[in-house]
Amino acid sequence: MLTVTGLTRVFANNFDAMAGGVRDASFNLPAGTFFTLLGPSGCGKTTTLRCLAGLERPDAGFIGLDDRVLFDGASGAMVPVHLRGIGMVFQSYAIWPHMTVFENIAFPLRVSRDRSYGREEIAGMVDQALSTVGLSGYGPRPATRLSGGQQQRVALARAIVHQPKLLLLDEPLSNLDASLREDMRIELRRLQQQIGITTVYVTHDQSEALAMSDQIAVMDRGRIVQLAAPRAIYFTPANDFVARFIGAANLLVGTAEARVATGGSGMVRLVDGIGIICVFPAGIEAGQPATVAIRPESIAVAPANGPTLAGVNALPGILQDASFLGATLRCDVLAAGQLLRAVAAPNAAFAPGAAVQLQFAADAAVVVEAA
Amino acid sequence: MVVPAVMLTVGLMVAYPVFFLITEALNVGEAGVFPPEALGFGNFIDMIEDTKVLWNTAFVAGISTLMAVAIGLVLAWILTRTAIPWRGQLERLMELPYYMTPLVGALAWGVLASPKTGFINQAWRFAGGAGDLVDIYSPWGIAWVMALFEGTVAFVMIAAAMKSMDPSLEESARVMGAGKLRTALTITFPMILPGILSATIFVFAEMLSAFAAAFVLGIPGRFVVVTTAIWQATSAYPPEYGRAAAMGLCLFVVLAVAIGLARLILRKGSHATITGKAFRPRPMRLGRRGWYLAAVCWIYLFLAVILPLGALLLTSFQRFATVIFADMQFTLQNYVVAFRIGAIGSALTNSLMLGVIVATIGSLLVGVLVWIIYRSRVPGRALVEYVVMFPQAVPRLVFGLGLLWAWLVIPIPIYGTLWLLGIAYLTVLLPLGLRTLAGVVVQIDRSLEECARVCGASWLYQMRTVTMPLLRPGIVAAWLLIFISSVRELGASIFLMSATSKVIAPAIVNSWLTSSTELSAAMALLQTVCVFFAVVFLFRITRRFSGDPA
Ligand SMILES: Nc1ncnc2c1ncn2[C@@H]1O[C@H](COP(=O)(O)OP(=O)(O)OP(=O)(O)O)[C@@H](O)[C@H]1O
Ligand SMILES: [Mg+2]
Repeated sequence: MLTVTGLTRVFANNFDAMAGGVRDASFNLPAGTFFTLLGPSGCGKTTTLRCLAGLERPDAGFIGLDDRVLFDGASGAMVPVHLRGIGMVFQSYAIWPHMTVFENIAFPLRVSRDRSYGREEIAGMVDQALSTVGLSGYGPRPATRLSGGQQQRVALARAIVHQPKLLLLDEPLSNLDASLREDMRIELRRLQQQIGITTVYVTHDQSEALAMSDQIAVMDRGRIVQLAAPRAIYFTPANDFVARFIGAANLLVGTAEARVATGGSGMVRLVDGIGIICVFPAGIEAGQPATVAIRPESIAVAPANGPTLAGVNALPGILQDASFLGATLRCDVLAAGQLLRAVAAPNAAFAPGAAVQLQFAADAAVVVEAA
Repeated sequence: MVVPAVMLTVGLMVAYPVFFLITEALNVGEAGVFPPEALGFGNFIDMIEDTKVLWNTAFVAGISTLMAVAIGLVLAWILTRTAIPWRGQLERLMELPYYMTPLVGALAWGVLASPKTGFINQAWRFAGGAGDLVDIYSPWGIAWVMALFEGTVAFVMIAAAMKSMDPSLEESARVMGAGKLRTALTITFPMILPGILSATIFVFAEMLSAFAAAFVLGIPGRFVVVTTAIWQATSAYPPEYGRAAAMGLCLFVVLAVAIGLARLILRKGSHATITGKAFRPRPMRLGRRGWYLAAVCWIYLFLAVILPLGALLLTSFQRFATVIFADMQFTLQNYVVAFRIGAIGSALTNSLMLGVIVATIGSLLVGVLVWIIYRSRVPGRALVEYVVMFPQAVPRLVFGLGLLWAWLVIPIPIYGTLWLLGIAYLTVLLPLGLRTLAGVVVQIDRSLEECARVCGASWLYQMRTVTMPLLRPGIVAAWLLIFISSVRELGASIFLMSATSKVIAPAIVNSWLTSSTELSAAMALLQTVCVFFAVVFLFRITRRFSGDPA
């Protein structure tokens, strides 16, 4: 069980006055949770991890792991890094260049305080970790004689070899090719569930986050803007930032026609007078401005003169551009005064300049908060 | 508590002599009396009125800087941007002139090109020429020797600038249609200009404060520059300490301004070239023309290393130095004398011993300082760096002068002992060590240490297993540099050495002044050989211990 409350670490920056860091982050993770921090570059993911690891002293907040208090801003208590018993993959890998692969991975076992490991035992555990990351037989190599992706896997092996209670992973798969990344993702998830390690995972890659996580926290400029399960993040983004960051949603601005209760649906009148039916997860008063998020894959592109279905929103538009992506045809359509992205079947034949109709179900249009 | 202690110690070691220098420069009463009986600017006015010395200094420093930068530029371009045969080996060999030292170089070129007796002139007359072909005891001769041995410093600095330039910047200009010349003028040159400019200023500052060549080659022809004028003023009777101090102080100010300027230029202009992305320099393929360029490098090595060493070797084994084969009289007498004159033998021993002690203490100290400056979060650590680096701006000779009075006045009986030399070496060489180690430390990602801690290692264990092994090459390099520099130290030592605390470089100079060329040559060779073996020995050890096959 990892408890984080009000975690704050702000970097005063005297060059450009842009203060970075993390502000007021709170989350509670039951043991064995796979938790992902997701967000654009510079939003404070690494800083959060470093606070959890004890490499950075938070300005305020509370961090507890199981029944241990790791940090308490109120009393100033802080458990030093090396006594926290965690495993970590650094964004820069931090592979020690003066050691072999084996020595790198054996290090956490050698310094372990819980118990001492025998020679044989260490060799066995290192081999086990190496095979987990697909590097069996690389033990005797100098760590500098590895490719970037191999180094990253050594870093991962080093982080898991002593089976820590808490695993902190800072973009551990960023340097691997697509298929290897897929394999490692599955392997990591399997391992994590098998041992039940609470894992805090940092990534830029939203599909990776959605696929692996129990919980996702989306961060923006140092703050957690939404913390929820992958589906909730995807289908009911908390605000327009999350909607845009996850799945590149289209955002339409309009005003609510009438008062809608929390979770109900109602009409939003867009700027050019067209009304669309949307879901209001947070409810709204009449006449309030509303931002509607619609995912490209929820929008169907139909010929302009085709039939309109009841209960489905329809927006007339002009096709600007269509790119063939293999599995899909990505269309950019000028509708409701802006460019909207939609996904059509790859065999649809639309020429740029054609008049089309964008169709989407009412529950695919979600009103989000404007951040 | 560490920071104030360090600042106080280093500050005192530097500020104290400088304070004495200032007092003495303003002293117009009786020389060397402290506190002065009368204050005034008389010494400065004397100095300015002596326009000949100022002009000589400017002339020699200017000419030698131009030559040295030209040498450095050509060598740097050849060795970083073209694919010539044995490029890697040649680049290593370029370090040799540095180990030779300007003092040994000047002695050797004195043997080679002095009027009448110089080997070149002997050969010239033997071949039927009249008069002297070359005269090294001239301003041009002095500038030539200084340029030859400072050229390698210019080379290192300019090569660094050239290496840090991403070749894809040039390639993109070429791809966009710029010709070779246009690319060179619009991309390459502006990019490396700050590097060249700062190297030029730095070299100029070195030339202004250079002593050895101007001394060895200038004194016989009564050609005086500011450093030799300082020396003359102090060894005159009665000593003109005030004038020496005034000159020293001005030299110090000029030097400080120049070094500040060089750093500023480098910092302002360098963002463009540092991309932080790994790239491989792609040297130009030249085919047959590569051999000509390699020949240029070899000519430099021949002039700066092979020819001077050969001349010294030949001289040291002769009764009277000559290149005319029929006249040669070989003898081991010079070496016998060099060892038998107790003072000289002990000078070498003293130098080596001082070198080892200063290098050992110095590199340990540098290790601690680097840790404070780059790894700790102690407030005021930037100031520590500034204070430790400060002696860099004080010319050695001037520093020695200041120390001389500083310790003469203080009632601690340290003047005339090796202790004083040790303290002086430590102070002036600390910046060198710090810079060397800092270069290594900034390349060690902090996360390497952090990761050890996260894995559960205590601070001590982390230091032992991660930090120290990673720092070892840097510490060894710092040790080596401090060692070499203290064995060859001349500027400060010449004032601080006494009959009971002799060191090798000033001893060679003394023997050059008072006894035979042949004996001096033998001593110079002994010094060179010692330094050379020390370097080789250390490289061996490092290779073995660092365990890095790369
Ligand atoms: N030591 C520091 N001093 C000052 N500012 C810092 C420091 N470390 C990080 N920052 C700032 O804090 C912010 C968050 O940094 P952080 O490293 O946590 O980003 P991140 O989310 O991990 O980004 P990325 O995905 O690019 O790794 C950034 O704006 C950064 O500039
Ligand atoms: Mg990061």
